[in-house]
Order: sequence, then structure tokens, then C-alpha cells
Amino acid sequence: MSYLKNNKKGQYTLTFNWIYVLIAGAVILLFFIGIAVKQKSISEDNLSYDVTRILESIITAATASEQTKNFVDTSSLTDYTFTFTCELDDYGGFKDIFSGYGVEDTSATEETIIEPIFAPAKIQTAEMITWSLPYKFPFKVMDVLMITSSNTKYFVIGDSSEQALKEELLNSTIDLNFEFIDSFDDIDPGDNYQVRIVDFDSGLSGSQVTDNGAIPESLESLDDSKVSAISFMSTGGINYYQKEGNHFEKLNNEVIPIISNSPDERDVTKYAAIFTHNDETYKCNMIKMFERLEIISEVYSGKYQELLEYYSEGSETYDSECLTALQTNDPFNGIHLAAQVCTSSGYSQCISLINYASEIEQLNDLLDLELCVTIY
Amino acid sequence: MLFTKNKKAQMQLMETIGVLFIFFVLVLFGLIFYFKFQQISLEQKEEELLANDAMDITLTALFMPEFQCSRGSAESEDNCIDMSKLRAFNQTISDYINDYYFNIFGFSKISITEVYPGNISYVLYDKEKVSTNAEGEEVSSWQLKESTFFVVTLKDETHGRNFGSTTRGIEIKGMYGVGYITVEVYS
Repeated sequence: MSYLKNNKKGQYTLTFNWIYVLIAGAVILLFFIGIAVKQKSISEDNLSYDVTRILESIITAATASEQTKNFVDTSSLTDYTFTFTCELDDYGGFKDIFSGYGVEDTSATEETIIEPIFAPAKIQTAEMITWSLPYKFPFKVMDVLMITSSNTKYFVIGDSSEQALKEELLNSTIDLNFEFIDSFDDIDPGDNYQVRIVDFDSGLSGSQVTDNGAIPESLESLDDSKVSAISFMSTGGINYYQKEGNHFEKLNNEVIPIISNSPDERDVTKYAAIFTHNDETYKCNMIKMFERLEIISEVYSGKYQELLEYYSEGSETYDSECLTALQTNDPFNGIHLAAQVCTSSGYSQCISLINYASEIEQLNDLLDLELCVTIY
Repeated sequence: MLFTKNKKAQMQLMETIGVLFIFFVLVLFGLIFYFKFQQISLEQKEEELLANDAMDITLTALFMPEFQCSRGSAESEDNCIDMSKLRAFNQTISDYINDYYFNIFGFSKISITEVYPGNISYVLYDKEKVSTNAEGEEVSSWQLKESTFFVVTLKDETHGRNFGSTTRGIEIKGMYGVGYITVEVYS
């Protein structure tokens, strides 16, 4: 009897030991699984932050090196989709601007309140292309960064509205994914991530990209977000379009004017328009440039005053000639105030800047002609 | 017999407690080691980021159109500071530090020191990391500081008369000095 009782107790002890081992084992296992899961999430976050950090370095380097194209190998980052956003405040001004880039579906984002980045909304690529060009209005305001990828295809069509720009594009985009075509029938998207049509016939009878106009057949199967178009109006200005089913839908109500004073040189504002996602991001990035213009015009106004003092103190003949040239016009205060209005009221209020920029250019040319110290 | 069994059970219990104690001590050692390692690598990463920031800010400062030398519509002159613009910028920047330039330079100090012909120093931007102590005073709260220096030429077009320039602008335009730009980044 005692043996039986003892045996039963042994069985209980054995069962209890196993349950105890199981519970303890499960707790220990859960503890380590918890650490591993947490570590995995931290690693993913770190990786996306590292990726953003790499992008930040690429952007800083590209912005600092004037007029350079960089082909950045991002083959190890092809699983990531980079996003670029830029939204103006409620009044279309700079005050509460929201702008940045980051990695899609992660919290890794970097604000770019100051730097204008003209890029598609999304890029997923093995090779990112950055191109920086100076924006001169007429003095250098800042370096503008354009970002695209080797798998973003640009089809350039028509040649009536911007013949000079088209020829310039032909020469400057040899190493980019640009194709110059005669009609929509020539469009073949291949295995590119997204497609943009650049139409130089807009406003003319031969215009191919129109509001509610048909999408080229070869692009119908692509996702709506992957097909967009920009048209350069023969009257000046641009329009943006996005694919909606089997037709194009115009994104902007009013034609977006090009605010530039360099019609004969490589016009960065038109280049930037080609690489930008839509009308809002274009205006947003342009407003960033005008905000910088507001500050730099104040700096040049200071230099202008210094030159006035310098030549008024001198007694040489050239002093009085240079002083006369300077006193002809003081456009810096004007451009500064116009830029203030523009950055607080929106892009449509920025047109007047062109006249001031033209006056500054004339003044500088005059000073150069008189062999005086130039403003810029 | 019962006494022997009881003792055996006690021994087993002690053994189990001992095993558990050693196990948790090992886990604790592992955790301490892991967190210490993480802390060291975080500090290293912070230093690395600070060095990167310092380089980025120096690069940005060198190419600032606010004071970089320009040549009309031609490309700007590299590593050259236009002193007229610099003086004007020095008076202008205070209105834009918090709203604009802080987004570019963050917590840092940027100064330009003339070495030849004069020895004037301009502090263009100075935004130190500070916190308020119990007495309500502002005190520095940065732990690391990374300094970088870069030699620049200083172009001064309106201070050339003292150097014997007589023709309008020709010699004056060639009046160059030497200096260096200092960028200190706080973390």
C-alpha cells in the first residue's frame, strides 16, 4: 500500500517537473523571441534611417556641386521606394510648407524645407540620377536639384512650342532615359518603373497630350500613377497631366507660368518642370527658391549700398561715372518686396519678379560696360 | 527513511534554485554586455553622424550664394568669399536665423577669419545647443563638438584703393586676400 502511494507521489512529482520545465522553457523561449522580434524591428528602422541618411548625403553633395550629373548606384536598395513630397501652406505660400523625402511605409523621413528637389513622387530603382543646375535670376539664387532614375522613361514629342529647349534637351540628356519620338505609336514603356510624356506641341493643332485626351495604347495597361505628362504651351507656361483610366486628366486649372529671365541659356525652371511630379510640387519647390531670392536680394541690396558709398567717396572720373550708372536704378529693394509678396501669397503672385530681375541684369551689364565693380 | 527522502528533496530543490540562479546571472551578464555594447556603438554612431554633419555643413557653407564670389552669368568662383556680400549678409542674417538658416546649419557656429591682408573675423552664424537650468539661466547643453576648417580666398572689390589701384575696377577686381572658414557643429 505504502509502495503504491509512494509510486503515485513519484508520478505526480515527475508530471509536475515536466510541466515546470515546459512553463519555464516557454517563458525563456518567449523572452528570447521577444528580444529577436524587437531587434528585427530596430534593425529595419535603422536600415531605413541609414538609407535616408545616404540619400541626404547624396543630395547635399549633388546640391553643392554645380552643374553636375551623378549616377548613384542604389542596387542594394531596390527593395525600397523613395518618396518625395512638397506641399505649400493653405495660402500657397512658404510659411507652413511641408516638404521632405523618405522611404515608403517607414517612419524614416527627412524634411527639406529649404532645398528644392524636383523629382517624381516615387522612385524605386537600381540607379538614381541626380542633376544639379544653378538657378540664376539673374544672380545665382541657389543650386536646384533634379532627381530621376534610370528606370523612369521620358518620351519627348513635338517640336513647335519650345524648339530651343528641345534641342538643348537632346544634347544634355544623352545619358538619361530620354527618347525623342514622332507620335504616340512609337511609345514602348518596356520594363520601366514609370513613364512621363513631354509634349512640345501643346496649344497647337498637332498637340497630342490634351485634357481628356486618349492615352497611348501601349500605356493603357500601366497603373495610373505610373503615367504622367507635361506640356509646354506655345504661349509660354506649362500644364501637368496624369493618367486616369484610358485618358489624360489635366491637374492644374490655370496654365503655370515659367518664372525665369534666361530665355537663351539653359533654363533650369523648364528642366525642373520636366522632372517634377505635378503642378503642386513644381510650385512648392519654386516658392522655396523665391524664399531664398528674398534673402539674397537683401544681401545684394547691401552690396549695392556699399558700392554707392564706395564710388561717392572717390574723386576719380570713373567714380562719378560708376556712381551715375548705379544711381540709374535700384531694383534690389523692389525684387525683395516682390519676393516677400510672392512667398506669402502664392506662385501666381510671383510674375512681377521677372521685371525686377530684368532691371538688375541691365544694371549689372551697364556697370560691366563702364568697367565698374559689378553687383553679381 | 523519511528523513533521508526529505533531505534528498531539499537537495533537489537547492539544486534547482542554484541552476536557476546561475541561469539568471548568465542572462543578466548577457543583457548588461548587450546594452553596454549597444551604448558604445550608439556613441560611435553619434560621433560618425556629427563628423558627417560637419562635412555637409562645411560643404554647404562653401557654396552659399549669399557670399560666394560670382562672375556675372559665368560659373561662381570656387572657395572664394565676396567680402562685400559677406558684410551685407552679416547684417542681414539675424532676421532669418530661426526661420531659415537653422534648417540649413542646425546647431553650429560658422565664422570666417581673414589672415591676409587684415585679421578681421566674422561670426556669420552661431546657434549653440542650450538648456535652462534650475536658476532659469541658459547653459550650454551640447556634449560633442566637431570643428572643420577650410582655406578660402577673400575677394574685396571695394577696399582696393589703399593698394594703389588707379584704373576703374581693373586692379580693384583683382584684390584678393586669404582666410579660412571654421565650422563647429554641436551635438
